[in-house]
Amino acid sequence: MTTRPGIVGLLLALLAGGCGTTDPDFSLLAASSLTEVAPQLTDAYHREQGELDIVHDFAGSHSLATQIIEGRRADVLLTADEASMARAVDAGAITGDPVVFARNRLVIVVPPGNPGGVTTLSDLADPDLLVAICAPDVPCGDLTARAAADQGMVISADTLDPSVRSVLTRVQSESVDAGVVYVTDARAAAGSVETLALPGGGPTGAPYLAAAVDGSDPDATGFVDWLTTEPAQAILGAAGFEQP
Amino acid sequence: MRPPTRTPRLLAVPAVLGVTLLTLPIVALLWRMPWSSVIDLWAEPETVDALRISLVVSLTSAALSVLLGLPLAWFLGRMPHRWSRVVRAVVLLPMVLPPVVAGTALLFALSPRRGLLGPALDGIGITLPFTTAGAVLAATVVALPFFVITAESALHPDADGLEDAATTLGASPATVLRRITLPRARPAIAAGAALAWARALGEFGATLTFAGNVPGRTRTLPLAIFEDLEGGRFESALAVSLIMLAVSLSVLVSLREKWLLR
Amino acid sequence: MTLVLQGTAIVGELTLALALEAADAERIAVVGPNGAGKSSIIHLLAGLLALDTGRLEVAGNLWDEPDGHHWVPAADRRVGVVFQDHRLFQHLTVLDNVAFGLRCRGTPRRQADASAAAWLERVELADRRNDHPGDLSGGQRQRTALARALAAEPEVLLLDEPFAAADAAVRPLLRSLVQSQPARHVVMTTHDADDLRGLADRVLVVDDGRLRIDDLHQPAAPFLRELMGA
Repeated sequence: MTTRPGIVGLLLALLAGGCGTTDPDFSLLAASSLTEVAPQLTDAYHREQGELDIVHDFAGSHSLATQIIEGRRADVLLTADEASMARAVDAGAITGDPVVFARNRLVIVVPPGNPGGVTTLSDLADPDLLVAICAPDVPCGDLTARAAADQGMVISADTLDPSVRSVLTRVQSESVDAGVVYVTDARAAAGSVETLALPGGGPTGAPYLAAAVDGSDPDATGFVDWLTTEPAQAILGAAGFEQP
Repeated sequence: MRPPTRTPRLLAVPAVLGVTLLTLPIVALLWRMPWSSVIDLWAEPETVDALRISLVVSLTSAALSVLLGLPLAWFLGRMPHRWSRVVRAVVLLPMVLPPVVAGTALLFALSPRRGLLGPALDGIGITLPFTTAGAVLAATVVALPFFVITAESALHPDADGLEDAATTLGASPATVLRRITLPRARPAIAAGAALAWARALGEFGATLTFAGNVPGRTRTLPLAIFEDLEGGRFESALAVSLIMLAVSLSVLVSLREKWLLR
Repeated sequence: MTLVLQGTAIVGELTLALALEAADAERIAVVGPNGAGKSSIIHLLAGLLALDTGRLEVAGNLWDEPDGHHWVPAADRRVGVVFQDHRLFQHLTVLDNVAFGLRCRGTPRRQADASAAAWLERVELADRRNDHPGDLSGGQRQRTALARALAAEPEVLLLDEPFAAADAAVRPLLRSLVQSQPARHVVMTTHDADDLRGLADRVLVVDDGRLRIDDLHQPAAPFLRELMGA
């Protein structure tokens, strides 16, 4: 009988812990492809601006936009395309105008040793090769389809993943022979994948947009504006992003 | 006439809260449903494809769950207790495992490039990841435990001594199984199959991880819904969800009338 | 002696010391307080319990001898059991219940059904043949169980409190059925003095795991004396 109050107490403590945490100073919702670079950006920003309690949350751009539209409290939204940001703007969930702060480019990634012997994009039309790409509905998938169309070919994909990160994971775990991801993802995974450039560098990616969320901390607008300044662009450039 | 039942009133509070918790999201889903365009969204070839794949995958997976689960449940009630405890724990493990993990583990086992058995299977021409068969396999991993746990108690021999009675009348083990054990457990078997089917129909994580997402091959309704959500196509996601609700509701209701309430 | 059951059987906490011998056509009644192990004797004979030592032999056939690793499964023993809790097959009709034993031993369906119907007539349940056991009263279920056991044409008829649930009015009928049936041996447990007077050639008193032969007319065991209302 002595354990029961103990368990109840523990549960209450856990509940209280879950409900009672204070709001962070700054919460940033960012597209999955920004997983590595976003903390570097916020780090640098808060070194300039003084101590901030920052929370990051990464997901697909549309998921994040939906969360904000449905009332999630956040300060800054970073999307990997225009469509999802436009949805948030139309729903009145954004303060001020979104800012383009980077662009991205696609590459082919293969497991170490390139077991499938992939040399160029047109190899991915081979149905015997296991290929993962992004679903056409998400920004990286849209861009992949354009890259294939530019080459006049169709990729014989074995999976159309809803996130660029799951494409990368499939290549890293050697479940597939090749995947098409952003150059920034490939760079973040350097060592566990080999990278092949697209013919002619491939199409220029959709813009990455930043915006302050409606009702956000005043700092949010400051951070959004800071993203286009020299220090922020240097960090983005080092991660493989291109200038807006 | 039966007198009115007296119940502790306090019980009603959590009970009503529970029902609300379960129905509120469904009500909200219907509230946001783009009713005027639902039919058009259903007619999209992608949706029709996903429905077809979902039905093929979930029904095959339910059948497979019965085929594998029935003997498994039967043995569970008849092996020494210390073994059945271990086997039961192993069988139920996928219920607590996040399906994405189950899918990843399946890849580790069956990936034709690096899997435990995958390269060997690939050598004899069997490739499971990223195929419809792979989607069935992924769904079965998560659905099978639901069947086994539902059917097991009904197949237990000590339940009522009927198997013993049949034996004294000269019934061979096969006759006992065919004429006593299985017919007696039929409601539980049907309930377990329905549960396994429902679980397979809703399967998402293991399917996406192990079988991938290709229209007409492995993209089931849940995958289509997720892709719609990730692509910002909400109306389509809602319309497809409505198909899932309608299909599962009608099957469960008809099963209930035919099998479960006997 | 054509039925020999001797040795020991461990049933839960209880160790049964067995010593039972019966000649052809001899009907044995087993009496004793609840929990003394009466049902276990029925189960040992039926093949639902195994001896730990000793042997069980019926009509020259060895059914159970742990030392010799000898064991005849219940299905091959040609017994008919009326269980205390009847154990009717709820998913089968009354007729299919009664025909079950014959069907298991290969009798064609039509013939088995006809024989089962005749047995139902004898226990006055002909009009309930298409009902399910769940629709019957306790007494009717007991009669169905008796018909099911007798229809299987057993060599050994085993009755565990066979008439406890039957209406007083039909008990004489059931007793006469047991009296006139052709099984080589009948072993029954009972709490009923009339059953003992009408059906038992010999009485076996089980108490605390021990079996003793007793005399119905001059009972030695206090339990039996009380039962017979001496």
